[in-house]
Amino acid sequence: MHELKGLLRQAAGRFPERTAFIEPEGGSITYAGMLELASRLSDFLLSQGISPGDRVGFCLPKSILSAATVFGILESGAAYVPLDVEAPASRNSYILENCRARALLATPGLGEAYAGQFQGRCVIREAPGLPLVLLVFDFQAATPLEIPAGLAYILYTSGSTGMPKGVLITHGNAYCFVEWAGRAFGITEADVFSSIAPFHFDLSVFDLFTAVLHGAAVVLINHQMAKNPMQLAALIDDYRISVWYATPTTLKMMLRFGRMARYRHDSLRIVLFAGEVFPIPPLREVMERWAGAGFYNLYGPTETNVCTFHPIPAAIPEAQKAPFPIGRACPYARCRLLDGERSYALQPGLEGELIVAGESVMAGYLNLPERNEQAFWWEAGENWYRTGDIVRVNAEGEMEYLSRKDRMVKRHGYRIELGEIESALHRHPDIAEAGVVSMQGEGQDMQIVAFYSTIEPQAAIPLLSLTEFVLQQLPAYMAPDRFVHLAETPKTATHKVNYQALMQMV
Amino acid sequence: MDTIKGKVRDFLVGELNLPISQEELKDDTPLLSSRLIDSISALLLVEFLEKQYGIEFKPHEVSHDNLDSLDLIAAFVEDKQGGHA
Repeated sequence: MHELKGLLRQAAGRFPERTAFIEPEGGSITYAGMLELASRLSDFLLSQGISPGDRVGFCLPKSILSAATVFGILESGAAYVPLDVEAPASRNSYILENCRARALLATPGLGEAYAGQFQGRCVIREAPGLPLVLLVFDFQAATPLEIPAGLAYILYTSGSTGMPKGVLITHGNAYCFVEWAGRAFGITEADVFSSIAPFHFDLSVFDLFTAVLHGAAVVLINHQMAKNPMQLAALIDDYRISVWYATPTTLKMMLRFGRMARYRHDSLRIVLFAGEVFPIPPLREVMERWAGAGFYNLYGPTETNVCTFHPIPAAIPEAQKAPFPIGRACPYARCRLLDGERSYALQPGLEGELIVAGESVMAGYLNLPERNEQAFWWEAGENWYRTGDIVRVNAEGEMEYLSRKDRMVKRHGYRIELGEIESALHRHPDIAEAGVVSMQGEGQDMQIVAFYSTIEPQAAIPLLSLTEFVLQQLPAYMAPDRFVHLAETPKTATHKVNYQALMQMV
Repeated sequence: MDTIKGKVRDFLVGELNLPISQEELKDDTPLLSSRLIDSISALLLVEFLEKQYGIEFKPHEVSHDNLDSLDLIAAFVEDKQGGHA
Protein backbone atom coordinates (compact mmCIF):
# COMPACT_ATOMS: atom_id res chain seq x y z
CA MET A 1 0.00 0.00 0.00
CA HIS A 2 1.53 3.30 -1.06
CA GLU A 3 0.77 5.82 1.62
CA LEU A 4 2.25 8.97 3.02
CA LYS A 5 1.38 7.64 6.44
CA GLY A 6 4.24 5.20 6.95
CA LEU A 7 7.02 7.38 5.48
CA LEU A 8 8.18 8.95 8.71
CA ARG A 9 8.28 5.60 10.52
CA GLN A 10 10.35 4.06 7.71
CA ALA A 11 12.78 6.97 7.71
CA ALA A 12 13.12 6.81 11.49
CA GLY A 13 13.92 3.08 11.17
CA ARG A 14 16.62 3.65 8.55
CA PHE A 15 18.07 6.96 9.74
CA PRO A 16 17.14 7.43 13.42
CA GLU A 17 20.02 9.79 14.21
CA ARG A 18 19.96 11.88 11.03
CA THR A 19 18.55 15.38 11.18
CA ALA A 20 14.99 15.41 9.91
CA PHE A 21 13.78 18.98 10.37
CA ILE A 22 15.55 22.24 11.07
CA GLU A 23 13.89 25.39 12.32
CA PRO A 24 16.17 28.38 11.71
CA GLU A 25 16.55 30.19 15.06
CA GLY A 26 14.73 27.25 16.68
CA GLY A 27 16.89 24.12 16.64
CA SER A 28 16.53 20.81 14.89
CA ILE A 29 15.16 17.32 15.43
CA THR A 30 16.31 13.86 14.35
CA TYR A 31 14.13 11.34 12.56
CA ALA A 32 13.79 9.32 15.78
CA GLY A 33 12.80 12.46 17.65
CA MET A 34 10.32 13.46 14.97
CA LEU A 35 8.69 10.04 15.02
CA GLU A 36 8.38 10.24 18.79
CA LEU A 37 6.75 13.67 18.56
CA ALA A 38 4.37 12.70 15.75
CA SER A 39 3.42 9.50 17.62
CA ARG A 40 2.61 11.48 20.75
CA LEU A 41 0.34 13.72 18.71
CA SER A 42 -1.27 10.74 17.03
CA ASP A 43 -1.85 8.98 20.39
CA PHE A 44 -3.37 12.18 21.75
CA LEU A 45 -5.70 12.50 18.74
CA LEU A 46 -6.77 8.87 19.05
CA SER A 47 -7.39 9.33 22.78
CA GLN A 48 -9.74 12.19 21.91
CA GLY A 49 -11.82 10.01 19.62
CA ILE A 50 -10.33 10.93 16.23
CA SER A 51 -10.76 8.02 13.86
CA PRO A 52 -9.67 7.16 10.31
CA GLY A 53 -11.47 9.22 7.69
CA ASP A 54 -11.85 12.19 10.05
CA ARG A 55 -10.53 15.58 9.00
CA VAL A 56 -8.24 17.37 11.43
CA GLY A 57 -7.29 20.97 10.79
CA PHE A 58 -4.26 22.79 12.10
CA CYS A 59 -3.47 26.47 12.33
CA LEU A 60 0.16 26.88 13.34
CA PRO A 61 3.12 28.89 12.14
CA LYS A 62 5.58 26.72 10.25
CA SER A 63 7.81 24.97 12.75
CA ILE A 64 9.03 21.56 13.83
CA LEU A 65 5.80 21.29 15.78
CA SER A 66 3.59 22.04 12.75
CA ALA A 67 5.52 19.53 10.62
CA ALA A 68 5.04 16.97 13.40
CA THR A 69 1.34 17.82 13.36
CA VAL A 70 1.10 16.85 9.69
CA PHE A 71 2.70 13.48 10.39
CA GLY A 72 0.79 13.00 13.64
CA ILE A 73 -2.57 13.55 11.96
CA LEU A 74 -1.65 11.13 9.17
CA GLU A 75 -0.39 8.58 11.71
CA SER A 76 -3.77 8.68 13.45
CA GLY A 77 -5.41 7.74 10.15
CA ALA A 78 -7.12 11.11 9.76
CA ALA A 79 -6.61 13.56 6.90
CA TYR A 80 -4.93 16.90 7.55
CA VAL A 81 -6.46 20.24 6.63
CA PRO A 82 -3.81 22.98 6.75
CA LEU A 83 -5.08 26.48 7.51
CA ASP A 84 -3.31 29.69 6.62
CA VAL A 85 -2.23 31.39 9.86
CA GLU A 86 -2.39 34.71 8.03
CA ALA A 87 -5.91 34.25 6.63
CA PRO A 88 -8.91 35.90 8.24
CA ALA A 89 -10.57 33.79 10.93
CA SER A 90 -13.84 33.86 8.96
CA ARG A 91 -12.23 32.06 6.02
CA ASN A 92 -10.59 29.44 8.23
CA SER A 93 -13.84 28.90 10.13
CA TYR A 94 -15.62 28.38 6.83
CA ILE A 95 -13.05 25.74 5.86
CA LEU A 96 -13.37 23.89 9.18
CA GLU A 97 -17.11 23.79 8.89
CA ASN A 98 -17.09 23.01 5.17
CA CYS A 99 -15.01 19.84 5.66
CA ARG A 100 -16.76 19.14 8.97
CA ALA A 101 -13.43 18.92 10.68
CA ARG A 102 -13.49 16.64 13.68
CA ALA A 103 -10.84 18.71 15.38
CA LEU A 104 -8.39 21.60 15.10
CA LEU A 105 -4.86 21.78 16.47
CA ALA A 106 -3.73 25.34 17.17
CA THR A 107 -1.58 27.49 19.38
CA PRO A 108 -3.36 28.19 22.68
CA GLY A 109 -4.09 31.79 21.59
CA LEU A 110 -5.58 30.88 18.22
CA GLY A 111 -7.38 27.93 19.80
CA GLU A 112 -9.16 30.24 22.24
CA ALA A 113 -10.17 32.54 19.39
CA TYR A 114 -11.63 29.70 17.33
CA ALA A 115 -13.33 28.22 20.37
CA GLY A 116 -15.09 31.58 20.68
CA GLN A 117 -16.22 31.39 17.06
CA PHE A 118 -17.64 27.90 17.50
CA GLN A 119 -19.14 28.39 20.93
CA GLY A 120 -21.38 25.53 21.92
CA ARG A 121 -20.14 23.37 19.09
CA CYS A 122 -16.69 22.50 20.35
CA VAL A 123 -14.73 21.54 23.42
CA ILE A 124 -11.16 22.60 24.02
CA ARG A 125 -8.46 20.24 25.29
CA GLU A 126 -4.83 20.85 26.18
CA ALA A 127 -2.30 18.66 24.40
CA PRO A 128 -0.26 17.12 27.23
CA GLY A 129 3.28 18.47 27.33
CA LEU A 130 2.96 20.43 24.08
CA PRO A 131 2.22 24.12 23.44
CA LEU A 132 -0.95 23.16 21.58
CA VAL A 133 -4.65 22.94 22.13
CA LEU A 134 -7.13 20.69 20.41
CA LEU A 135 -10.64 21.85 19.60
CA VAL A 136 -12.97 18.90 19.17
CA PHE A 137 -15.95 19.88 17.05
CA ASP A 138 -19.46 18.69 16.84
CA PHE A 139 -20.75 19.83 13.45
CA GLN A 140 -24.26 18.45 13.16
CA ALA A 141 -25.43 17.78 9.63
CA ALA A 142 -28.36 15.94 8.14
CA THR A 143 -26.44 14.36 5.28
CA PRO A 144 -23.03 12.73 5.55
CA LEU A 145 -20.15 14.11 3.47
CA GLU A 146 -18.77 11.92 0.74
CA ILE A 147 -15.18 11.30 1.74
CA PRO A 148 -13.02 9.17 -0.57
CA ALA A 149 -11.21 6.17 0.91
CA GLY A 150 -7.59 6.88 1.80
CA LEU A 151 -7.96 10.65 2.05
CA ALA A 152 -4.60 12.20 3.02
CA TYR A 153 -5.28 15.93 3.02
CA ILE A 154 -7.59 18.66 1.79
CA LEU A 155 -6.15 21.84 0.28
CA TYR A 156 -8.52 24.75 -0.17
CA THR A 157 -8.19 26.81 -3.32
CA SER A 158 -9.83 30.00 -4.43
CA GLY A 159 -13.38 29.42 -5.71
CA SER A 160 -15.25 31.45 -8.31
CA THR A 161 -18.45 31.30 -6.27
CA GLY A 162 -16.79 33.35 -3.57
CA MET A 163 -16.00 30.47 -1.25
CA PRO A 164 -12.86 28.34 -1.27
CA LYS A 165 -13.14 24.80 -2.65
CA GLY A 166 -11.71 21.76 -0.86
CA VAL A 167 -9.47 19.66 -3.11
CA LEU A 168 -9.54 16.05 -1.88
CA ILE A 169 -6.16 14.35 -2.23
CA THR A 170 -5.75 10.69 -1.33
CA HIS A 171 -2.56 8.98 -0.21
CA GLY A 172 -2.34 7.38 -3.66
CA ASN A 173 -2.75 10.74 -5.43
CA ALA A 174 0.14 12.24 -3.48
CA TYR A 175 2.38 9.20 -3.22
CA CYS A 176 2.86 8.68 -6.98
CA PHE A 177 4.22 12.23 -7.30
CA VAL A 178 6.34 12.04 -4.14
CA GLU A 179 7.89 8.75 -5.25
CA TRP A 180 8.52 9.88 -8.83
CA ALA A 181 10.08 13.18 -7.73
CA GLY A 182 12.52 11.35 -5.47
CA ARG A 183 13.72 9.24 -8.40
CA ALA A 184 13.61 12.01 -11.01
CA PHE A 185 15.80 14.32 -8.95
CA GLY A 186 18.06 11.64 -7.46
CA ILE A 187 17.18 12.51 -3.86
CA THR A 188 19.24 10.87 -1.10
CA GLU A 189 19.60 11.16 2.67
CA ALA A 190 22.47 13.58 2.08
CA ASP A 191 20.12 16.20 0.63
CA VAL A 192 18.93 19.26 2.53
CA PHE A 193 15.53 20.56 1.36
CA SER A 194 14.08 24.02 1.64
CA SER A 195 10.48 24.23 2.76
CA ILE A 196 9.45 27.70 1.63
CA ALA A 197 5.82 27.18 0.65
CA PRO A 198 3.31 27.16 3.51
CA PHE A 199 1.66 23.80 4.23
CA HIS A 200 -1.65 24.95 2.74
CA PHE A 201 0.10 25.38 -0.61
CA ASP A 202 0.69 22.23 -2.67
CA LEU A 203 4.39 22.89 -3.26
CA SER A 204 4.85 21.80 0.37
CA VAL A 205 3.93 18.19 -0.48
CA PHE A 206 7.27 17.70 -2.23
CA ASP A 207 9.23 19.45 0.52
CA LEU A 208 7.74 17.34 3.31
CA PHE A 209 7.19 13.91 1.87
CA THR A 210 9.86 13.47 -0.79
CA ALA A 211 12.45 14.53 1.78
CA VAL A 212 11.13 12.12 4.41
CA LEU A 213 10.85 9.25 1.91
CA HIS A 214 14.62 9.48 1.43
CA GLY A 215 15.66 10.52 4.94
CA ALA A 216 16.81 13.97 3.82
CA ALA A 217 16.76 17.05 6.08
CA VAL A 218 14.20 19.85 5.68
CA VAL A 219 14.80 23.50 6.59
CA LEU A 220 11.42 24.88 7.66
CA ILE A 221 11.13 28.47 6.52
CA ASN A 222 8.27 30.34 8.18
CA HIS A 223 6.01 32.81 6.39
CA GLN A 224 7.97 35.86 7.50
CA MET A 225 11.32 34.49 6.40
CA ALA A 226 9.78 33.33 3.13
CA LYS A 227 9.04 36.97 2.30
CA ASN A 228 12.51 38.14 3.20
CA PRO A 229 14.87 37.41 0.31
CA MET A 230 17.91 38.48 2.33
CA GLN A 231 17.18 35.77 4.86
CA LEU A 232 16.44 33.21 2.15
CA ALA A 233 19.80 33.83 0.51
CA ALA A 234 21.54 33.51 3.87
CA LEU A 235 19.70 30.28 4.77
CA ILE A 236 21.00 28.43 1.70
CA ASP A 237 24.52 29.16 2.88
CA ASP A 238 23.86 28.60 6.60
CA TYR A 239 22.32 25.16 6.13
CA ARG A 240 24.02 24.10 2.89
CA ILE A 241 20.65 23.60 1.23
CA SER A 242 20.81 21.32 -1.83
CA VAL A 243 17.19 21.18 -3.04
CA TRP A 244 15.35 24.45 -3.52
CA TYR A 245 11.69 24.57 -4.55
CA ALA A 246 10.01 27.95 -4.92
CA THR A 247 7.89 30.08 -7.17
CA PRO A 248 9.59 32.26 -9.81
CA THR A 249 8.42 35.28 -7.78
CA THR A 250 10.52 34.18 -4.82
CA LEU A 251 13.54 33.59 -7.04
CA LYS A 252 13.14 37.00 -8.71
CA MET A 253 12.92 38.68 -5.30
CA MET A 254 16.10 36.93 -4.23
CA LEU A 255 17.92 38.23 -7.32
CA ARG A 256 16.73 41.76 -6.71
CA PHE A 257 17.08 42.03 -2.94
CA GLY A 258 18.92 38.94 -1.69
CA ARG A 259 22.53 40.22 -1.83
CA MET A 260 23.29 36.89 -3.39
CA ALA A 261 26.94 37.62 -4.13
CA ARG A 262 27.73 37.57 -0.42
CA TYR A 263 26.86 33.93 0.06
CA ARG A 264 28.15 30.52 -0.89
CA HIS A 265 25.39 28.79 -2.80
CA ASP A 266 27.46 25.95 -4.21
CA SER A 267 25.51 23.39 -2.15
CA LEU A 268 22.51 23.79 -4.46
CA ARG A 269 22.04 20.70 -6.60
CA ILE A 270 18.41 20.84 -7.71
CA VAL A 271 16.32 23.98 -8.25
CA LEU A 272 12.63 23.47 -8.94
CA PHE A 273 10.15 26.15 -9.79
CA ALA A 274 6.41 26.02 -10.32
CA GLY A 275 3.24 27.97 -9.91
CA GLU A 276 3.71 30.58 -12.58
CA VAL A 277 5.58 31.41 -15.76
CA PHE A 278 9.30 32.20 -15.33
CA PRO A 279 10.37 34.88 -17.84
CA ILE A 280 13.72 34.13 -19.47
CA PRO A 281 15.86 37.14 -18.34
CA PRO A 282 15.58 36.52 -14.56
CA LEU A 283 15.78 32.75 -15.09
CA ARG A 284 19.02 33.24 -17.02
CA GLU A 285 20.35 35.40 -14.22
CA VAL A 286 19.54 32.93 -11.45
CA MET A 287 21.02 30.06 -13.50
CA GLU A 288 24.24 31.98 -14.00
CA ARG A 289 24.46 32.55 -10.28
CA TRP A 290 23.64 28.95 -9.38
CA ALA A 291 25.60 27.40 -12.21
CA GLY A 292 26.16 24.06 -10.46
CA ALA A 293 22.47 23.22 -10.09
CA GLY A 294 20.00 21.47 -12.38
CA PHE A 295 16.85 23.51 -13.01
CA TYR A 296 13.38 22.11 -13.67
CA ASN A 297 10.06 23.70 -14.50
CA LEU A 298 7.23 21.79 -12.81
CA TYR A 299 3.59 22.26 -13.74
CA GLY A 300 0.33 21.13 -12.22
CA PRO A 301 -2.73 22.59 -10.52
CA THR A 302 -3.47 21.54 -6.95
CA GLU A 303 -6.14 19.22 -8.40
CA THR A 304 -3.62 17.05 -10.29
CA ASN A 305 -0.47 17.73 -8.30
CA VAL A 306 2.62 18.12 -10.50
CA CYS A 307 1.70 16.42 -13.77
CA THR A 308 4.23 17.73 -16.31
CA PHE A 309 7.85 18.79 -16.07
CA HIS A 310 10.57 20.25 -18.22
CA PRO A 311 14.32 20.13 -17.53
CA ILE A 312 15.90 23.50 -18.32
CA PRO A 313 19.05 23.16 -20.47
CA ALA A 314 22.25 24.02 -18.58
CA ALA A 315 22.93 26.83 -21.04
CA ILE A 316 19.92 28.79 -22.19
CA PRO A 317 20.30 29.46 -25.92
CA GLU A 318 21.02 33.12 -26.68
CA ALA A 319 18.01 33.28 -28.99
CA GLN A 320 15.57 31.97 -26.34
CA LYS A 321 12.95 34.63 -25.65
CA ALA A 322 9.75 32.72 -24.86
CA PRO A 323 9.43 31.06 -21.45
CA PHE A 324 10.28 27.36 -21.36
CA PRO A 325 7.55 24.79 -22.00
CA ILE A 326 5.72 23.08 -19.15
CA GLY A 327 7.06 19.99 -20.87
CA ARG A 328 5.89 16.39 -20.90
CA ALA A 329 3.60 14.36 -18.69
CA CYS A 330 5.06 12.75 -15.57
CA PRO A 331 4.92 8.93 -15.83
CA TYR A 332 1.80 8.63 -13.64
CA ALA A 333 -0.16 11.27 -15.59
CA ARG A 334 -1.75 11.30 -19.03
CA CYS A 335 -2.49 14.48 -20.95
CA ARG A 336 -4.86 15.27 -23.79
CA LEU A 337 -6.13 18.50 -25.29
CA LEU A 338 -9.77 19.47 -25.32
CA ASP A 339 -11.02 21.60 -28.15
CA GLY A 340 -14.74 22.22 -28.22
CA GLU A 341 -16.53 18.91 -27.71
CA ARG A 342 -13.66 16.63 -28.62
CA SER A 343 -10.39 15.69 -27.04
CA TYR A 344 -7.18 14.88 -28.89
CA ALA A 345 -3.92 13.08 -28.18
CA LEU A 346 -0.95 15.44 -28.04
CA GLN A 347 0.64 16.15 -31.39
CA PRO A 348 2.83 19.01 -32.61
CA GLY A 349 0.93 22.14 -33.54
CA LEU A 350 -2.19 21.25 -31.58
CA GLU A 351 -3.68 23.81 -29.21
CA GLY A 352 -6.44 23.39 -26.60
CA GLU A 353 -7.36 23.04 -22.96
CA LEU A 354 -5.08 20.63 -21.14
CA ILE A 355 -6.95 17.75 -19.51
CA VAL A 356 -5.20 15.31 -17.20
CA ALA A 357 -5.98 11.79 -16.01
CA GLY A 358 -4.03 9.36 -13.89
CA GLU A 359 -3.04 8.43 -10.38
CA SER A 360 -2.28 11.94 -9.16
CA VAL A 361 -5.63 13.48 -10.11
CA MET A 362 -7.76 14.48 -7.11
CA ALA A 363 -10.76 12.48 -6.02
CA GLY A 364 -12.84 15.64 -6.50
CA TYR A 365 -13.91 18.81 -4.73
CA LEU A 366 -15.51 18.25 -1.37
CA ASN A 367 -19.27 18.36 -1.40
CA LEU A 368 -19.56 20.22 -4.71
CA PRO A 369 -21.28 17.76 -7.08
CA GLU A 370 -22.07 20.40 -9.69
CA ARG A 371 -18.57 21.83 -9.64
CA ASN A 372 -17.20 18.29 -10.00
CA GLU A 373 -19.37 17.74 -13.08
CA GLN A 374 -17.78 20.80 -14.68
CA ALA A 375 -14.29 20.02 -13.46
CA PHE A 376 -13.99 16.67 -15.18
CA TRP A 377 -14.21 15.44 -18.73
CA TRP A 378 -15.37 11.84 -18.96
CA GLU A 379 -13.64 9.78 -21.61
CA ALA A 380 -12.44 6.22 -22.12
CA GLY A 381 -13.91 5.18 -18.79
CA GLU A 382 -12.10 7.69 -16.66
CA ASN A 383 -12.24 11.22 -15.33
CA TRP A 384 -9.95 13.78 -16.92
CA TYR A 385 -9.43 16.94 -14.90
CA ARG A 386 -9.98 20.07 -16.97
CA THR A 387 -7.11 22.38 -16.01
CA GLY A 388 -8.57 25.47 -17.68
CA ASP A 389 -5.07 26.10 -19.04
CA ILE A 390 -4.73 26.55 -22.77
CA VAL A 391 -1.55 24.91 -24.05
CA ARG A 392 0.09 24.31 -27.42
CA VAL A 393 2.23 21.34 -28.40
CA ASN A 394 5.56 22.39 -29.93
CA ALA A 395 7.57 20.63 -32.63
CA GLU A 396 9.36 18.53 -30.00
CA GLY A 397 6.03 17.29 -28.63
CA GLU A 398 6.28 19.36 -25.44
CA MET A 399 3.46 21.46 -24.07
CA GLU A 400 3.75 25.24 -23.90
CA TYR A 401 1.48 27.21 -21.62
CA LEU A 402 -0.51 29.90 -23.45
CA SER A 403 -3.22 31.34 -21.21
CA ARG A 404 -6.08 30.78 -18.75
CA LYS A 405 -9.48 29.81 -20.01
CA ASP A 406 -11.49 31.41 -17.21
CA ARG A 407 -10.96 34.33 -14.90
CA MET A 408 -8.43 32.74 -12.64
CA VAL A 409 -5.08 34.47 -12.36
CA LYS A 410 -1.90 33.72 -10.49
CA ARG A 411 0.06 36.03 -8.31
CA HIS A 412 3.21 34.95 -6.49
CA GLY A 413 2.20 31.42 -7.36
CA TYR A 414 -1.17 31.70 -5.66
CA ARG A 415 -4.34 31.05 -7.59
CA ILE A 416 -6.84 33.81 -7.45
CA GLU A 417 -10.35 33.70 -8.85
CA LEU A 418 -11.17 37.30 -9.65
CA GLY A 419 -14.81 36.41 -8.99
CA GLU A 420 -13.98 35.60 -5.38
CA ILE A 421 -12.67 39.14 -4.88
CA GLU A 422 -15.85 40.50 -6.43
CA SER A 423 -17.94 38.39 -4.08
CA ALA A 424 -16.02 39.80 -1.13
CA LEU A 425 -16.62 43.36 -2.33
CA HIS A 426 -20.29 42.63 -2.88
CA ARG A 427 -20.60 41.95 0.83
CA HIS A 428 -19.76 45.58 1.59
CA PRO A 429 -22.93 47.42 2.62
CA ASP A 430 -22.16 50.49 0.50
CA ILE A 431 -21.05 48.74 -2.69
CA ALA A 432 -23.60 48.38 -5.47
CA GLU A 433 -21.45 46.47 -7.92
CA ALA A 434 -17.86 45.39 -8.35
CA GLY A 435 -15.78 44.28 -11.31
CA VAL A 436 -12.22 43.01 -10.83
CA VAL A 437 -9.67 42.73 -13.61
CA SER A 438 -6.03 41.75 -13.77
CA MET A 439 -3.35 43.43 -15.81
CA GLN A 440 -0.07 41.88 -16.85
CA GLY A 441 2.15 44.83 -17.64
CA GLU A 442 5.28 44.42 -19.76
CA GLY A 443 8.06 43.32 -17.40
CA GLN A 444 5.94 44.14 -14.38
CA ASP A 445 4.17 42.07 -11.81
CA MET A 446 0.54 41.30 -12.39
CA GLN A 447 -1.80 43.90 -10.94
CA ILE A 448 -5.31 43.34 -9.70
CA VAL A 449 -7.59 46.32 -10.09
CA ALA A 450 -11.02 46.43 -8.42
CA PHE A 451 -13.65 48.73 -9.89
CA TYR A 452 -16.70 49.39 -7.82
CA SER A 453 -19.80 51.52 -7.82
CA THR A 454 -21.60 52.57 -4.67
CA ILE A 455 -25.25 52.71 -3.69
CA GLU A 456 -24.79 56.46 -3.18
CA PRO A 457 -23.15 57.09 -6.57
CA GLN A 458 -20.83 59.91 -5.50
CA ALA A 459 -19.75 58.38 -2.21
CA ALA A 460 -16.38 56.70 -2.77
CA ILE A 461 -15.37 54.52 0.19
CA PRO A 462 -12.17 55.62 2.00
CA LEU A 463 -9.33 53.44 0.79
CA LEU A 464 -8.18 52.31 4.21
CA SER A 465 -11.59 51.11 5.27
CA LEU A 466 -12.08 49.34 1.94
CA THR A 467 -8.72 47.59 2.27
CA GLU A 468 -9.53 46.63 5.82
CA PHE A 469 -12.91 45.26 4.74
CA VAL A 470 -11.32 43.13 2.02
CA LEU A 471 -8.64 41.79 4.36
CA GLN A 472 -11.27 40.67 6.83
CA GLN A 473 -12.55 38.28 4.20
CA LEU A 474 -9.66 37.38 1.95
CA PRO A 475 -6.03 36.44 2.42
CA ALA A 476 -3.62 39.28 1.72
CA TYR A 477 -2.39 37.79 -1.56
CA MET A 478 -5.90 38.24 -2.96
CA ALA A 479 -6.23 41.90 -2.03
CA PRO A 480 -6.51 44.21 -5.07
CA ASP A 481 -3.56 46.48 -5.81
CA ARG A 482 -5.86 49.34 -6.73
CA PHE A 483 -9.45 50.34 -6.16
CA VAL A 484 -11.26 52.56 -8.63
CA HIS A 485 -14.59 54.12 -7.76
CA LEU A 486 -17.05 54.44 -10.64
CA ALA A 487 -20.37 56.22 -10.77
CA GLU A 488 -21.65 53.29 -12.79
CA THR A 489 -20.16 49.94 -13.85
CA PRO A 490 -20.05 49.47 -17.64
CA LYS A 491 -22.35 46.67 -18.89
CA THR A 492 -22.47 44.34 -21.85
CA ALA A 493 -25.58 43.83 -23.97
CA THR A 494 -26.56 40.96 -21.67
CA HIS A 495 -26.28 43.20 -18.60
CA LYS A 496 -23.12 41.60 -17.35
CA VAL A 497 -20.11 43.55 -16.15
CA ASN A 498 -18.18 44.61 -19.23
CA TYR A 499 -14.64 43.53 -18.38
CA GLN A 500 -13.27 44.65 -21.74
CA ALA A 501 -14.44 48.18 -20.98
CA LEU A 502 -12.92 47.99 -17.48
CA MET A 503 -9.57 46.85 -18.88
CA GLN A 504 -9.47 49.96 -21.04
CA MET A 505 -10.02 52.14 -18.00
CA VAL A 506 -6.99 50.78 -16.13
CA MET B 1 14.54 62.14 14.90
CA ASP B 2 12.00 64.41 13.24
CA THR B 3 14.05 64.66 10.10
CA ILE B 4 14.31 60.87 9.78
CA LYS B 5 10.56 60.52 10.12
CA GLY B 6 9.99 63.39 7.71
CA LYS B 7 12.29 61.92 5.06
CA VAL B 8 10.79 58.44 5.43
CA ARG B 9 7.28 59.89 5.27
CA ASP B 10 8.21 61.69 2.04
CA PHE B 11 9.63 58.49 0.64
CA LEU B 12 6.63 56.34 1.58
CA VAL B 13 4.01 58.70 0.26
CA GLY B 14 5.99 60.21 -2.61
CA GLU B 15 8.13 57.35 -3.93
CA LEU B 16 6.24 54.24 -2.89
CA ASN B 17 2.87 55.85 -3.60
CA LEU B 18 1.33 54.64 -0.40
CA PRO B 19 -2.42 55.16 -0.64
CA ILE B 20 -2.41 57.55 2.31
CA SER B 21 -1.69 61.26 2.69
CA GLN B 22 1.26 62.73 4.58
CA GLU B 23 -1.17 63.96 7.23
CA GLU B 24 -2.87 60.58 7.63
CA LEU B 25 0.47 58.84 8.06
CA LYS B 26 1.09 59.24 11.79
CA ASP B 27 4.30 58.33 13.59
CA ASP B 28 2.64 55.23 15.00
CA THR B 29 0.53 54.19 11.98
CA PRO B 30 1.19 50.46 11.49
CA LEU B 31 2.83 49.95 8.12
CA LEU B 32 3.46 46.24 7.63
CA SER B 33 1.01 44.68 10.05
CA SER B 34 -1.78 46.80 8.52
CA ARG B 35 -0.60 45.71 5.02
CA LEU B 36 -0.26 49.35 4.06
CA ILE B 37 3.19 48.29 2.88
CA ASP B 38 3.64 44.98 1.05
CA SER B 39 6.78 42.89 1.23
CA ILE B 40 8.34 44.41 -1.92
CA SER B 41 7.74 47.97 -0.72
CA ALA B 42 9.30 47.03 2.61
CA LEU B 43 12.45 45.93 0.79
CA LEU B 44 12.52 49.14 -1.23
CA LEU B 45 12.23 51.05 2.03
CA VAL B 46 15.18 49.11 3.43
CA GLU B 47 17.23 50.03 0.37
CA PHE B 48 16.28 53.66 0.79
CA LEU B 49 17.24 53.69 4.49
CA GLU B 50 20.56 52.00 3.84
CA LYS B 51 21.50 54.46 1.14
CA GLN B 52 20.17 57.54 2.88
CA TYR B 53 21.73 56.86 6.28
CA GLY B 54 24.75 54.75 5.43
CA ILE B 55 23.57 51.85 7.55
CA GLU B 56 23.17 48.17 6.81
CA PHE B 57 20.34 45.86 7.76
CA LYS B 58 21.27 42.34 8.74
CA PRO B 59 18.92 39.82 7.07
CA HIS B 60 16.91 39.18 10.26
CA GLU B 61 16.57 42.93 10.93
CA VAL B 62 14.25 43.29 7.94
CA SER B 63 11.25 42.68 10.16
CA HIS B 64 8.11 44.16 11.65
CA ASP B 65 10.09 44.91 14.81
CA ASN B 66 12.10 47.57 13.01
CA LEU B 67 9.87 48.67 10.17
CA ASP B 68 6.27 48.67 11.33
CA SER B 69 5.95 52.41 12.00
CA LEU B 70 7.80 55.69 11.52
CA ASP B 71 8.63 55.59 15.24
CA LEU B 72 10.23 52.15 14.96
CA ILE B 73 12.08 53.02 11.76
CA ALA B 74 13.54 56.20 13.24
CA ALA B 75 14.57 54.39 16.42
CA PHE B 76 16.25 51.64 14.42
CA VAL B 77 18.13 54.08 12.19
CA GLU B 78 19.30 56.14 15.17
CA ASP B 79 20.39 53.02 16.99
CA LYS B 80 22.39 51.83 13.98
CA GLN B 81 23.98 55.23 13.50
CA GLY B 82 24.83 55.40 17.19
CA GLY B 83 26.39 51.96 16.95
CA HIS B 84 28.64 53.11 14.14
CA ALA B 85 29.75 56.27 15.88
